[in-house]
Amino acid sequence: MSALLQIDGITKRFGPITAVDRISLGVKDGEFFAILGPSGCGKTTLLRVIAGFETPDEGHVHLAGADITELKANRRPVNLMFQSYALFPHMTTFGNVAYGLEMEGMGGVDLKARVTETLAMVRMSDFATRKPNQLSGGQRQRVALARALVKRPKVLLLDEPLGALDRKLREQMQIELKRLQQDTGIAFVVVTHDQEEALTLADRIALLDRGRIVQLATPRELYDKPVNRFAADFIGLMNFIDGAIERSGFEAPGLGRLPAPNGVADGPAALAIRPERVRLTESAEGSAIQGQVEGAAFLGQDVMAHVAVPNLARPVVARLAAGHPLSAKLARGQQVWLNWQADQAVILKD
Amino acid sequence: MIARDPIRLWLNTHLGLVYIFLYVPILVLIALSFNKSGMPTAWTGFSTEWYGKLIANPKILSAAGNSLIVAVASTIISTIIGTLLAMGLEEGKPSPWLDALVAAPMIIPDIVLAIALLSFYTLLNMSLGLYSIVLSHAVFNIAFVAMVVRTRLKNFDKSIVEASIDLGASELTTFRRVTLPVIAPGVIAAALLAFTLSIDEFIIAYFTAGAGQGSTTFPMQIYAMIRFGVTPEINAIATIVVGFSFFLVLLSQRLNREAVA
Repeated sequence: MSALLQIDGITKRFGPITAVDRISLGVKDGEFFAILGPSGCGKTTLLRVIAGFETPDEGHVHLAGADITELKANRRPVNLMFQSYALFPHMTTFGNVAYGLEMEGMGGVDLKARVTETLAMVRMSDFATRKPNQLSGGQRQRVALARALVKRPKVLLLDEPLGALDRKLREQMQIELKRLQQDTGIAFVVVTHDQEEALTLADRIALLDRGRIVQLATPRELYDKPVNRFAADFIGLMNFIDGAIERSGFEAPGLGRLPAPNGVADGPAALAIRPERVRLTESAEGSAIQGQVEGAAFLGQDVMAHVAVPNLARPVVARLAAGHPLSAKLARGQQVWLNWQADQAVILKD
Repeated sequence: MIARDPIRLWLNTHLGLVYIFLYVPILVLIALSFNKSGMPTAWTGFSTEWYGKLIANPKILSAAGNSLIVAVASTIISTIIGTLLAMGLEEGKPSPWLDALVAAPMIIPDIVLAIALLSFYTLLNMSLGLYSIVLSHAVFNIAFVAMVVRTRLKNFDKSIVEASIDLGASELTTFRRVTLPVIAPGVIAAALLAFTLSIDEFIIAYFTAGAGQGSTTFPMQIYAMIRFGVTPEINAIATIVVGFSFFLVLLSQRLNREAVA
């Protein structure tokens, strides 16, 4: 119970649909927490429950030890940055940021100082007198961020904060978000469908699917040790080979025994291996499976090789790092051999 | 010479004819209001004497005053109720039945509404007067206000309401500081429309006014005068009304344009 924000068994139904199904999690003080999942997984509903815009059917929300489940949204020391930014169109940047402080009864010099300081933090000082329709998408995003941060909430909730930005700007803002979070020390809870964003930003990630937590882990754990096929598939790229665990080894039909970690009980299973962990060679020596190059995609530095393997429905993807001896001369139809270290593969039982 | 597109030429000709059809009678009326002789048959020189006579006529002045009272009062009532109605309708579950009920007073023929209101007032044993006209005008104006405000609310981003509450504002403060300022251009346009509709409304006012000069509105006064023929004074009144209406329409369109931008 050392968590700053503690969610216990939250369930939220909309008619026959259970949007959030008995979710429990804790967010620590100063943590950057991501709620990740495909659209319709209940992540936004969960965020709105925390913000106070939805009342859960079951469960409790605790903030700093106090039960805030019944507390109205305007009394929670939590602020939300909306996906659409939801800036007040009739107010200037300054007016937007000052609004929350005015609601606390702050005014005069104190208010001005705090707004100015917050605008400087998001690098929007020069745009204080502009109205939202005179700002670019990225600038609006900064104003929305400043408006949510200015009240110094205990937890800042961000709903798809970078969703509306183009790729270049998004990468730049990811770094800024991280910097702001570290500078302010406020716990950030980000909702996103973008796994790359979650991996880059978060200290911990709760991966959601159909209203439930699939896995709650650090980005590295989530990437290296997905607990099931959904998690393995949702995060990054993954090759799957269906088969079974027999006599404490992984057997794929038509491919024989493949390198896999030990200690998994017998039964049907899938082997999952990341493309960058697949070793691709020209010689058969010490290799697991043979295949034929189907195509190669140049990614600027690395090369993604698609290798068709007999008895496998989908080609195995191997990522060749820059400087790989084969990366420059892979030809379609070429015979290659694939291998990986047993402990870098993951066995999934569902 | 620039070769002209024949279709374009036809369209422009058509447009010109429509405008002539619409505005020539009004222009004739305006011209006649400045005619010295006061006869529609011959132009005898420019004069503003009919406007002077108009101002000197106490009946016209009191009727104009009555109309202003009715228009202002019914505009205030219908703007408040109509705006709240529009918000409620946009907030609630979409229902074609409710929509139809709200729009009905706009569509029902004035004469039907007039008779219905008169019967209703009689049933309630209500005495008639200016206030009964105010109530009657509010009835159809609420429908118009609700319609205009609803179009504004359609493009209203509801997340700004939540943002305001998230930042600690109460619902009332949110309405005062966020919702109302954002929909204000629509509300003002609706109020101007309501005012214009009320100030020249005749049938309903005529039925629900009761007897006496005390509740005679401007259109009713004109109607009373016209029974003895179109006098130059009436041309002068009409010119003033046209100018005033035109000004209001321009104002409301301008506000609506700003609202969209």
